[in-house]
Amino acid sequence: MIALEAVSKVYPDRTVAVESLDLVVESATVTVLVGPSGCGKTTTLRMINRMIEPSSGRITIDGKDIATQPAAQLRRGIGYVIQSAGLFPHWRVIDNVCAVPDLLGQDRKTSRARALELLELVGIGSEMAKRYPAQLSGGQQQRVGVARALAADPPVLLMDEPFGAVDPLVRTQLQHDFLELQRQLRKTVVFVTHDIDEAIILANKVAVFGEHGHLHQYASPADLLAQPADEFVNRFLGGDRQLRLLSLLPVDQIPIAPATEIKLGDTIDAGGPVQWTLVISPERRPLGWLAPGGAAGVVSESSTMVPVTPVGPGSNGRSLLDAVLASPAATAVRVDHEGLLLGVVTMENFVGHPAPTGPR
Amino acid sequence: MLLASVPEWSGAQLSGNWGVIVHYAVIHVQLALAALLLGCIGALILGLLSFRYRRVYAVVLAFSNAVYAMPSLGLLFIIAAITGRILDDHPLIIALALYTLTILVRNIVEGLRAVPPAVTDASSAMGFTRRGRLLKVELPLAVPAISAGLRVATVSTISLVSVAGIIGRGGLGFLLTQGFQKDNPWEIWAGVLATVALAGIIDVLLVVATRAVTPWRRIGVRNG
Repeated sequence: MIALEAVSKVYPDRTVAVESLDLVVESATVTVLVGPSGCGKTTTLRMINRMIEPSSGRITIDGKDIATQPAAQLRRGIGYVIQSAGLFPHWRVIDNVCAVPDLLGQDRKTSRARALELLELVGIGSEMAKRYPAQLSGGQQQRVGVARALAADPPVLLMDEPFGAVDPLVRTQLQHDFLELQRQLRKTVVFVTHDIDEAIILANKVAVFGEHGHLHQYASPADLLAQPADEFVNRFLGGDRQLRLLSLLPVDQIPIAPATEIKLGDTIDAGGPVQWTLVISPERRPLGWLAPGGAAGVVSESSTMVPVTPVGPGSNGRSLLDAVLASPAATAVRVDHEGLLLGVVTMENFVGHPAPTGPR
Repeated sequence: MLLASVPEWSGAQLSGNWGVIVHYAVIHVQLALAALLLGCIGALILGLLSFRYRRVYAVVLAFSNAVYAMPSLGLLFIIAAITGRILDDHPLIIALALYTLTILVRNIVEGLRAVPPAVTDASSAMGFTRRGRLLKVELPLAVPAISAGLRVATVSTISLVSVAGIIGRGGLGFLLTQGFQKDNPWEIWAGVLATVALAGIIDVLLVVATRAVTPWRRIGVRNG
């Protein structure tokens, strides 16, 4: 657990970067500090490893005051990832990863072996271990940066806009991989970004900063979206709060209805289907939609069907809504792990979800 | 070194005089290396101080500009007057070392300053001490810049050693002064070409050495 107690940072020219901040970061969670540029979020992050010394207040990690140990020693126990990776250009990838173990005087052979595993874990193949950073793409460098931060297995990880300098496609992938990594490693992560979407995707808790490090709200992403504490947070979240809330909602939270269905081999009466009808296989796999007023007769795989894109478990409410909007039947099809039909969802099923709508 | 033992160029030809050239070339290299070594040590000390303390750099820059603006011969006499020993090699070595220092100190400071802030930042955050960072990160990354300065300093030092022939010191400069006195173009050209060859050889050695210690700069591919 990281605890900041009444922490302030005032520069000699009297600029107030952070003013009397109290913040508790629970162990094994991801806390994202978010806010406009110059709001003191990076200053806050850098006070945790004493890259910046607080003017007043106290910071403890697992109850131990960080000011009581030498800065260099403290930092060797805290992983740090920055935007531009900051890899040493004159060291090979593997040596970059082993920087902290080497500083700690750990056995070289052991640390190199562990570094290869770590690189694998962050998605860098061992064939790249002997390369120099300039031979890697920006995304790969960032992955190496993460591996380097994890090399000495620190309980705490500080990340300063680590995915800010890569293109959106790579960023999405890195975010996804980071979440996967965190599921396995369960570090105490403090993450800085100015991107509220990134905050909502990654955080267990989001801290929204305003000017001078003023903490406007500290809450889970869902609580933040459902109930913004004030106008500042509301504006910072932007206009599509409800849609974002939906993206946090697992699909199984949204009620389903039985489909108007027909099995392969069944017969449609003269005049054709009266409404959109879902064709399913004998094992109940959705195959496609029959449009109302279509041909009558026995339904076969060669019948004229509108293709269907079923929504599986593990998806979120926003994807489900998207599937409703994309369907000509205005109906999304839900399936289970094996791709078998569970039921259908229409706009009506979204009414009342997400339930809380905040102060206004 | 006794004058009696100094070998003399004989005749208007090259043959038979190779020993003379080698003799002076060896002295030349010894003087140049002594000056370069002294200059490097001085430049490193002043460079590191300047890197850490901005004010020191301002003073060092003013001083080095003044030294650099001074004619070499004049500097030599000033130093001889201070050390009081025009008859041995010390004033010469000190003067040449000063030139090396003024050229090199700038490259050291600029080379250290050119280390990307993200790299310095990351090294601090990982728990490098200030000294560890300097030795393992900043200085190695400044090697290309320092090496570039060293090449200029080396070539200029080797050619300046010849100038010392005018005051009866130095290596291959002897061939120039004596060649002029005796109006012997063979001796003059031998002195000129040998100096150029020496500078060339040492420059190539420096380039090779720099490449050997900076393998990371030889890679072709940039961010894909």
